[in-house]
Amino acid sequence: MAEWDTIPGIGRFLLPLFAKNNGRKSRWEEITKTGLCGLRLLCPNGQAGELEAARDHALFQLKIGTFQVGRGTECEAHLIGVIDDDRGACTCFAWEMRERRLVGPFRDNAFAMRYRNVGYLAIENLGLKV
Amino acid sequence: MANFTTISLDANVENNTTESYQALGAANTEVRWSGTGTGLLSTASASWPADIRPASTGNVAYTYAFTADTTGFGFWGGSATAANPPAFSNANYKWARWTWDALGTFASAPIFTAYDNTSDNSATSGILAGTAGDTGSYSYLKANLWGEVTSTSGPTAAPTNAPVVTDGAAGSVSPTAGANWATHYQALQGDTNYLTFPNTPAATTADHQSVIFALFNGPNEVPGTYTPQLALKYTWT
Repeated sequence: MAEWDTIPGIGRFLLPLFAKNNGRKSRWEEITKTGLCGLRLLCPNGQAGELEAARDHALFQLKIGTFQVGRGTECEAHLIGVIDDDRGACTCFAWEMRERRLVGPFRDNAFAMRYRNVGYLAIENLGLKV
Repeated sequence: MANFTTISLDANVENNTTESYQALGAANTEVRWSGTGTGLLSTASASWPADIRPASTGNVAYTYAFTADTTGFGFWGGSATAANPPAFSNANYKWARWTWDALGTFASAPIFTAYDNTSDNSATSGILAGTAGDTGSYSYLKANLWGEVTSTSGPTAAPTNAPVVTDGAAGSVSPTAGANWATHYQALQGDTNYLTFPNTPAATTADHQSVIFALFNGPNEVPGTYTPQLALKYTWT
C-alpha cells in the first residue's frame, strides 16, 4: 500500500506495486502528477476507495503513524485525497489499520486537516498545486 | 516504502556546551524518572524504585535515558559515559532532540506527544490525564519544542518560562517558526494536548528538532505504575 505504479498505456490510475509488476516502482514524490486524474485505495478487506480529479496536481496520498520510544512506528491509517477548491477543501478516503475499516468519502481541508490532527499538509512534498 | 527507517528521541547526556546523544527508540530503550539521583544507572526496569507521593506538587527531579534494560545515562549528566543526572533545570536547554533519517518525506508537520503505554494510543492514565487539584486536569508531563530544525539552528538559550505544574493548553501548541522555544511548556496528553512542529521538515533530508521535557507529581496523583510513552506522531508520503 505504500508503493505505486502507473498502468502502461493508460497512465490514468496509480496502483499499488505488486511483485510481478516487472519491478517497476516509484515513490509518490517521484511520480509525475501531470495527467494523473484518478486514485484508488485498495484495502486488505477487498473494499476500495476511488477519487477522480478534474485537473493535474490535485490528488494526494499519505500515511499517518506514531513512533513511540521503545515500540517503533505503527502505521495507523493510509489516506488518499483530492483537492476540491482553491481554499483547500478536499475529499478523502482512509483505510484505518487498527480498526481494519475503510472510512469515507469524507470532507476535510488540506490547510488544516482535522482527520487525526494531521494539520496543514505539506503541499510541496505531496506534489500538490492549490 | 517511503517511510523513515530510523526515528529516535536522542537524550543529551553531557551539557549545553558539549552535546553527546544517546538514541532512544529501539526495543527496551526508555526514558525513566525518579526522585533518586544516584545509584540507578544499572537498575532494571522491573526493579525501578517507587517514589513517595509528595505533599505538594513539584518536579520529579531526575531523568534517565536507558539504552538497554540495565544501561542507563543521566540526562544532561555531564559525561559521554554513564553519569548521574542533575536535578531538572530549565537552564539545561540542550536536553533532547527528535532525529529522523533521509529516507522518508513528511506530509505534514510532526507532533510531539505522549500515550499511556505501548499497546494502544490512549492517554487517560492518571499521569497523562492529570488531576484537577494538581495540574488543572492537564498532564503531569510537560514539554517544550524548539522552532526550527537543527541544521538551521539549535537552541541558543533556555525557554523563557520554566515549566510549572499547571502548564497546558487545549489542542496544539507550536513555537513561532524560528530560533525560539514556545512561550510556555505544553502538557502532553495523547491526541488531546500536544506540541506541533511549526514547519514540515524538508523532504528526504535527515535532521533533528530539539525538545525539553519534565515530569511533575503531586498529592492528588493516584499511586500506581505508569509507563507513559513519548511519541512522535507524523505523516509520510
